[in-house]
Amino acid sequence: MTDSTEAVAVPKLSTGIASFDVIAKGGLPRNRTTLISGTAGSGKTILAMQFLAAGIRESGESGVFVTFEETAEDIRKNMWSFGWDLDQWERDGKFAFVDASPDPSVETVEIGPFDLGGLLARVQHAVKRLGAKRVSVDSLGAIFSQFSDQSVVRRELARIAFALKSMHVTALLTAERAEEYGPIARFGVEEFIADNVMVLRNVLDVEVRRRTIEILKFRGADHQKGEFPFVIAEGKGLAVIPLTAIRLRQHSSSVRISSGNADLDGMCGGGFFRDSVILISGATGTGKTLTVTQFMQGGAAQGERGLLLGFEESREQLFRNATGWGADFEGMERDGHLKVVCDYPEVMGLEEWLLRIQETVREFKPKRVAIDSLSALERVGSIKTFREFVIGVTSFIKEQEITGLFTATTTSLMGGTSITETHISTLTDSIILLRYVEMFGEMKRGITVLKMRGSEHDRGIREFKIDRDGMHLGRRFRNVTGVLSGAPVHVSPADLERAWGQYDAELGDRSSAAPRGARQGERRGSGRHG
Amino acid sequence: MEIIDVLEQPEIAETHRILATPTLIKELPPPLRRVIGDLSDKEKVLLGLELRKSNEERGKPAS
Repeated sequence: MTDSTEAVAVPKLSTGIASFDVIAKGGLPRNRTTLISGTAGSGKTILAMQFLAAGIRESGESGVFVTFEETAEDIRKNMWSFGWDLDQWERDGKFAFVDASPDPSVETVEIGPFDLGGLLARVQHAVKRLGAKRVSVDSLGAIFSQFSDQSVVRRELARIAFALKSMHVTALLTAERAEEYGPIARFGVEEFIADNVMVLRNVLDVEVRRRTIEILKFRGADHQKGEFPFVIAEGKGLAVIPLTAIRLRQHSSSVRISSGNADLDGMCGGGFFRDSVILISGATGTGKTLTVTQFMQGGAAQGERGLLLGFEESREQLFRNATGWGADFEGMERDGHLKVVCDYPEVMGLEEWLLRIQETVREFKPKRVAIDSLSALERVGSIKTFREFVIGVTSFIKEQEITGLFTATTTSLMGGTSITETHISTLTDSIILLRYVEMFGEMKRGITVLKMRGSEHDRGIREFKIDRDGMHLGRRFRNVTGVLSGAPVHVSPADLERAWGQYDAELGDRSSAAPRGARQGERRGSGRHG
Repeated sequence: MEIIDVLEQPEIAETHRILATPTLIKELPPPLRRVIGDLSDKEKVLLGLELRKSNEERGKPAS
């Protein structure tokens, strides 16, 4: 994409930074100047350089970098970690610096009226020499500190911005600001010399830095509104996570896939949907990792690839668990049906995790993705960031038309909901609860399908056992109630009969309403005992 | 004394990292000095280049 399709709108220049072009709806307005304002360390210089690097790499467009602050040498070194070989591009005539950084070794005295004609001539010369299409200026504020006559600098910056337009280049100008939410830029003039304004933020959010980019205005051109999280990744540069730009264009497949357990498939009305996201919630040890293991095994049995992202247990532990349940993870990996990635959630922010997961999925191309557990990731950021992360992952999974299985750990052993659940339950298509049930001095396990979007499912709470072959579903908990709330109450068979009898009398038809009848009976029974 | 028009020879402006016009560079005798701005006031130029001491400075030791 180079130009916008609408003839009336200002044509856009695809920056070559794919994720940025999404929120900029095609790219930066062509042959115009765009200001990027941000506090210290918000990533302005990186974006300014990435704009040029992407031009050189993606569309063969040369670029000129004008620096008022850091020396060309420093920038050259700093940008090396992103894989941008400025030296090589300079030799190829694709890139040039105009170094206007202050030289501390030379003392300069202002004795009368002046203009910045020297700088302008250098920029024009560099643009002409390379046939450059892109210019980055970093940063406007720094030029003010080089001269005592601020009014001259203001006038001259406006003149340079105007000259850039006549050179037919698309330019990015950076400017510093003192606060994350305050005046756009320090000197109060920067935003007036540019056609378009963007803001980079680096806000401390629950002890974690959260980077966002916002397009404030594109004169005569459309763009996405609001703040979008972004990350600065080594070897790449800035990558925007366009959350609200993700469209709900799910196909809602009616194709069913096996959960890896025939009994559970039966409870779900014939298996999980192909492009759906399932949440498994339960206390520690209830069988969440087992459900994940079976999910992977079920995929491999169909010759499908599965990706398992473990955030709670080590790789060795996961493999040992799997062997204990009769699943051969090693063999599955050898056959290319499985990829297990284990790491501490804390090694990076959630935005980075989202990108990492997307990358891994694109590379490995699995049909199934499991995250064990989401609760572990929740610790890394704020609730807002976590929600955004889950939205990002779920929409990505649906977009890829694959199946996602996430686990959430409840804090209390008996019943209760997990924090994870409350934040994301509306985002998932299906919710399966695993619970401990205390009965006659014994801990039993119960499973129920709470929600199954777009399908009928078993509404009962079934007991299940775990042995060397995995999970085995048994009968319903018929004579107990309050399993999900964590306070199971036993109902005597006599009470149960009476409750059922009453219910049947009301309905008149016991057989067709049996599942509901059972539930109803249990509830009444609990009332008596309570 | 060499006069350069930055528009005609921008590469020389690049080598000397010139921003403002006019800029007067004094290379010899050291120290290296730069003066920017209108050069019509001879007194200011010489002061800026440290080729002459100001009246006050000259006056100070005497008083």
